[in-house]
Amino acid sequence: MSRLALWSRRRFLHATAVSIPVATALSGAESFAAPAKGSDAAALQARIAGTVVVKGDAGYETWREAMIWQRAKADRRPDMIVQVERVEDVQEAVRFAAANGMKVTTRCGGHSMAACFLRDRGMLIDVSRLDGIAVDKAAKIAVVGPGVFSRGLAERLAEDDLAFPGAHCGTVPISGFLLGGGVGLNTNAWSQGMSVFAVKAVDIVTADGRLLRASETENRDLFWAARGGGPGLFGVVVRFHLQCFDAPKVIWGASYTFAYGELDAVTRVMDTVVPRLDKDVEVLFAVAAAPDVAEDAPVEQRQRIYLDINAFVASEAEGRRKLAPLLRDPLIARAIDRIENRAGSFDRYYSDNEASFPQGFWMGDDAWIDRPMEAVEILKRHIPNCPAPRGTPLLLYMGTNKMPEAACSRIGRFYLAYYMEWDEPAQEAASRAYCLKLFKELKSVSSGSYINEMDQEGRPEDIRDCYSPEAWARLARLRRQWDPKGVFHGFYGQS
Amino acid sequence: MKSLSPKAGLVAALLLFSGVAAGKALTTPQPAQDSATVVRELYEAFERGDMAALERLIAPDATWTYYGPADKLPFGGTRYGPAGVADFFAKVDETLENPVATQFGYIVTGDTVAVPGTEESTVRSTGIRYKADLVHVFKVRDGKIVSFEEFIDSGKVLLAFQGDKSAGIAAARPSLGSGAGKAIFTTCAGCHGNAGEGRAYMYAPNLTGQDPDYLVRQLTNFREGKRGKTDDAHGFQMVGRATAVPGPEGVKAVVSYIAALPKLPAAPVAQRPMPAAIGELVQTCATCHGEAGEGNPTMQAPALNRLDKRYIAQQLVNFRDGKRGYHTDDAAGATMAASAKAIPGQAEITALANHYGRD
Repeated sequence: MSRLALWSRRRFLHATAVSIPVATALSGAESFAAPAKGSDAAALQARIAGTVVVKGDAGYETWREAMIWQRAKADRRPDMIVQVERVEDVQEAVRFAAANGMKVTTRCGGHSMAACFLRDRGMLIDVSRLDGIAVDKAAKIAVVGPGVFSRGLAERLAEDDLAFPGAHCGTVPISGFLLGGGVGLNTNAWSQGMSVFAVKAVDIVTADGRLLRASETENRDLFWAARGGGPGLFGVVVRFHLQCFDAPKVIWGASYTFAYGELDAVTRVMDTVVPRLDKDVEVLFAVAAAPDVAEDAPVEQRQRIYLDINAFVASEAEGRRKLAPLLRDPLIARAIDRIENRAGSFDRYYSDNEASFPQGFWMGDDAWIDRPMEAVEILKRHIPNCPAPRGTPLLLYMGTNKMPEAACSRIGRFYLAYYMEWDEPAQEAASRAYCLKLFKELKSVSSGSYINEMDQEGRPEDIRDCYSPEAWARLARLRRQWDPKGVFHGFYGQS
Repeated sequence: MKSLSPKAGLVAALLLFSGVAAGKALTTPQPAQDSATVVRELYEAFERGDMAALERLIAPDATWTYYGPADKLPFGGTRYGPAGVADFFAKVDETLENPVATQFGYIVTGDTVAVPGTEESTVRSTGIRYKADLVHVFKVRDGKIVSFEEFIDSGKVLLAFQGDKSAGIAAARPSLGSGAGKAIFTTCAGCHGNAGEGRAYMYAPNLTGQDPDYLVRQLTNFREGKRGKTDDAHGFQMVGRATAVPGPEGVKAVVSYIAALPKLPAAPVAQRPMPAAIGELVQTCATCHGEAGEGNPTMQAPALNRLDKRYIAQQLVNFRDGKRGYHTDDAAGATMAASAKAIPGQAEITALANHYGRD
């Protein structure tokens, strides 16, 4: 560690004429005992096309903060950040980490709300510049770099009349999203509930620096782990081979706004009506602030329920037909606002959805729910007390698919997520405490959590509940087999 | 935030003295064990945090003196030997933060080396940041430093310790550091491409070859609510990303990085036949954007021949529909919005975009 810091300091001094701001270069310094050669990190830099930054560099903090998408910057500092430019860089970096006893994590878009990729020790490999989309239209296969955004993938595939169940948020890269399982668009119809089941193979750099293909036929154990192992995966995926689907001609949809007092009624419709719809009709609702209502107004006045319905279909007529059973429900007539007969597209979906995710300070948590009425009973007790200026619970119907054999092994009929957003750092602690208390209580009605949006910082002890007991044990076994020296960090809180 | 370990603090304080990379002997070094070399080695040992070298370079009976009242400045007074030097730096670290050291050069006379410079630090207890002139005077014997004296404007330092704001200077903003531009560009690359070339599938324009001041202005507009309303479908996603840039200094850093990227070829506007329908409109455009759409920084007009056709068309629509150039503080945008309203319709917008834009 200190050798790296020293190397960095010297490099910085050489680059600077006279005036040396040194204070920023100090947090990692630990001892004088290290030999003066200190050029290991420089040697890594010489071997890769990417960028090596070490704790102690003058620019380190800027790099560290740039690794996190949102404004809440977790207070953890890896010893080294390596932003790779090509697959070979990943291999070099992993070998370097192994040789120097550093533990590796990987980031791409830095959207993990827990910033689980940021640890206080080791190397953070940034794969965000590994991009590229190659489409085999006839085979309906796309080979995609980890840095590709969900929105970009949708637009590119549309050129070939194809589609993929990407993330709901367009600026989320596909990599971390898929590795954690992926609660994606139209997964009930396309990919057995989770996007990762449309991953046919990955190219992955393993702990020994090798680049391997993992699929149903090659390195099957590794493939099993890559499909859901998420931040606990012992490798760096550098390419995804995706099964694509015929693009919908239209995303036919509608949105309805309800008074907060309809929460039970809306949930009941989600529980009893929505599951009878065709699988390519995706329905979710969010509880969010009504526009232009004071933050201290009673919850019934300041909160609204936004029900969003989207059918991924071949024609307007098909969309109308598929939405009809839901739109006939008496609930719909009680909407206080509505957008109907929406002939949408991925472009429109992502533009509309983007407005829900302004840049702010964020955290969140989630739970798999089979009986939503019970979950909403708990939610109703807590929502009035939410201290975050913007707290948004969301309930998405997932379907009842039998999941393929993979590390991704937990799901529920419903996905319940809750996002907290605040404006001032001082509002953080209360928001986190509220969220933690609520989700500890929700454990009584949930069947685990989705690793990607789970509050890994707040309740690391529950990370195992993102997996079935068998999958959790198998992941640990495979880790010992594929990464016997522990080159990769384990899940947050475990290394 | 955990406190620094004593050793880390020592490294911090040592570094205060290490900014000597540009130091040069101002007079010809004397023979024997070149005194300047020894002093240079000491500074380099500071630089590396190399304790073993310090012990080798500092005589066991060396004196280490900082001229100032020891009862009021904890690092003041005279100390002895390497242990005394370590104690000196520990006291510095306990009481000062964010030190910046400057050395102007070496003045060598026999076994004596004088190093004039400045020191700038913030006193932890008062928060006052001072900048004081100083001279370090070393005496070297048999390859070891036997005496160090720091002649510093300790009156100013003392005032800063006593909370007298007259001794203070404006605290420098913490530097984002070298390489900050590329670091910040991490948040841009996903849409604009690794080389800033733009990505049609993210509706993100080419950034290369564009006027840096224009880029700063637009990033600032996105940050400050002057561009990127929620109904600006592909502009709104910029608001979050621009807000993620760390402050105005970060905006400058990332734009500097972008400005240094290889430029993509501009659209060959001059070689393109002019559709009659936009012949007059183009005269208007040229007033600010130039004959070939090359842009004109003095008019705050961006290069159109660096942007792709779809982007230009979309922006013209945005200007016309009040989605851009709507803010009173965005004067250049307001000018463009007024001009865009003079464009008859979508056909002319398409023709203008095709005339100026890259394929």
